[in-house]
Amino acid sequence: MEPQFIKGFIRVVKEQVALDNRVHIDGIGQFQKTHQTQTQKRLEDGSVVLMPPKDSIEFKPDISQENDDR
Amino acid sequence: MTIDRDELINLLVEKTGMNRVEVEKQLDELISRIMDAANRGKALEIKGFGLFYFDEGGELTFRASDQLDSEINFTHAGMEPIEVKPPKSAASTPPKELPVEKDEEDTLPVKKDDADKPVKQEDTADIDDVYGIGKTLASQSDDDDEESEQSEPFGKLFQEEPAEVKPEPKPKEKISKAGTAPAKKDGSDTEAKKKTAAKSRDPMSVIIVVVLAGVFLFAAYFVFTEFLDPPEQPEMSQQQDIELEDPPATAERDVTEATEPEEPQPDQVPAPENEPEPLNDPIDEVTTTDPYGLYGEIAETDGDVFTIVVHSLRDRDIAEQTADELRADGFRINVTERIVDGQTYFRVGIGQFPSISEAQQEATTLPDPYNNQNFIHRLQ
Repeated sequence: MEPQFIKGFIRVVKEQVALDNRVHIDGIGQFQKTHQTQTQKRLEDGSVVLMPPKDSIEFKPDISQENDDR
Repeated sequence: MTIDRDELINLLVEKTGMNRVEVEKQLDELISRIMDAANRGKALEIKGFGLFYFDEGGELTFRASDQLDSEINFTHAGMEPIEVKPPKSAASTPPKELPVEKDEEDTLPVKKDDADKPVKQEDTADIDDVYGIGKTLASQSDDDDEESEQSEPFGKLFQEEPAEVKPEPKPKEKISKAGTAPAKKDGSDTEAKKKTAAKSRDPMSVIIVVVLAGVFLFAAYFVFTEFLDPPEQPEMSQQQDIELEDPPATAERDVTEATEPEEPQPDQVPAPENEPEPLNDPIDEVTTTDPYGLYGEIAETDGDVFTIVVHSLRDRDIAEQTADELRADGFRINVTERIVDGQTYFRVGIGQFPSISEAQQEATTLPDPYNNQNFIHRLQ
C-alpha cells in the first residue's frame, strides 16, 4: 500500500463527507455525515446539561459476517 | 450527492497524482485488507482516519478517529455542554461522564459509539497494523476522548445556537419532573426562612412600637400638663377653678376640719328668706358690727369661722386682684394661703360664718356662678 494513496484516500473521504456528500466504497460500505441536534441531558448527580449540536461521520456497511458466512 | 467508485477513483487520481490504474489497484487492495483483517476478528486502523472491525453483531463497523471526528465537526468545534440546572449536591460529577449515561435522546452516532466500546476493549490488543501506518487506538482514543470533552474553548459559539434546536419533549419532561422537586424544595426553604425571619422580626417590631408609643404618650402627657399649668389666670373659667379647688378642699378637711368632717352638706339648701340685696345696699352691711355674713369687712371673732371659697389660685397677685374686685362689690373677702400636695394655693373666700351650715346656706345666695361653684373653708 502506497502511503501516498492512503493519504489521498483519507483526504478525499474527509472532504466529500464534510461537503455532505456520501462516499460509497464497493464491497465495504458508505461514509456520510450525520447531524446530532442540541439536546438536554440529566446526569446522575441531578444536574441538567445542554449538549451542543454535533456533526459526525457515519459508516453504513454493505456487508456483515453473517452474509459472508452464507 | 453520492460519490461512487468511479468518482472516488477520479478524485483519488487528482489528489494522489497516481494514474487511474494504480489508484484502482490500491483501492482494491485496501478493501481486501480491511475485509481480511475483519474476517480474522481483528481490527484495521488507518491512522488519522479510523478503525474497521466486525462488531459483536457481525456487522462491519467503522470507528472514526478523533482527528477525523473533529474535522467533520468543525462547524461546531469548541462547543461544550452548558449546565442548565446545577447538581443536587455540591460535589458535581464532571461532564466527562455524559457519554456513559444512556439517554433516550441519544442519536445513532452515540449509540454506535456505545456499541463500539466493548469491541474496542477486546480488540485493541489484537489490532493488526496491516499497513504500518497506524498504531493502536486504545490509548490514543481514550486520551482523545477525555481531551475532546475537556478542552473545548469555543463556548461562545454554542451560546448562539440555542434558538436553532429545541430539546426533545421527553427529556424535557423528565428534567422538569426531576427538576421541580428540588426547585420547589429550595423555594419552600426560602419561603420558610422568610416566614421564620418575619416571625422573628414581629416580636421585636412590636416591642419597638410599644416602647415608642409609650415614649410618645409620656412626652405628650408632659407637654399637655405643661400647657395646662399656666391657665391659673383670672380669666380662667370657674370650672377650672373648681377642679383645682376640689383636692385642696379634701386635703384641707383632713388637716383643719378633723373636728367636724361628719357634717352633712345639703345638696340643695332652700333659698333663705329674702336676704337684703347685697350689691344694692353694701353700706348698710358695712355699718353693721356683725362679724358674720357675706358683706362687710373681716372682723375678729371668737370661735369657729368658716368662709365660702370661690377661687383657689396659685398666683398670689391674681388672687389679690380677684379679691379686690369682689371686695369692690361689698363682699367680706379673705385671702388665705394653703399648701396642698406640695403646692401653694391662694384661696379667695367670701364672708365669714360661725358654722358650715350657715355658710352653705349663704353660698346659695351668691351671684352666679359662685352660688354653684364653691366650697366651704374653715378660717379658724
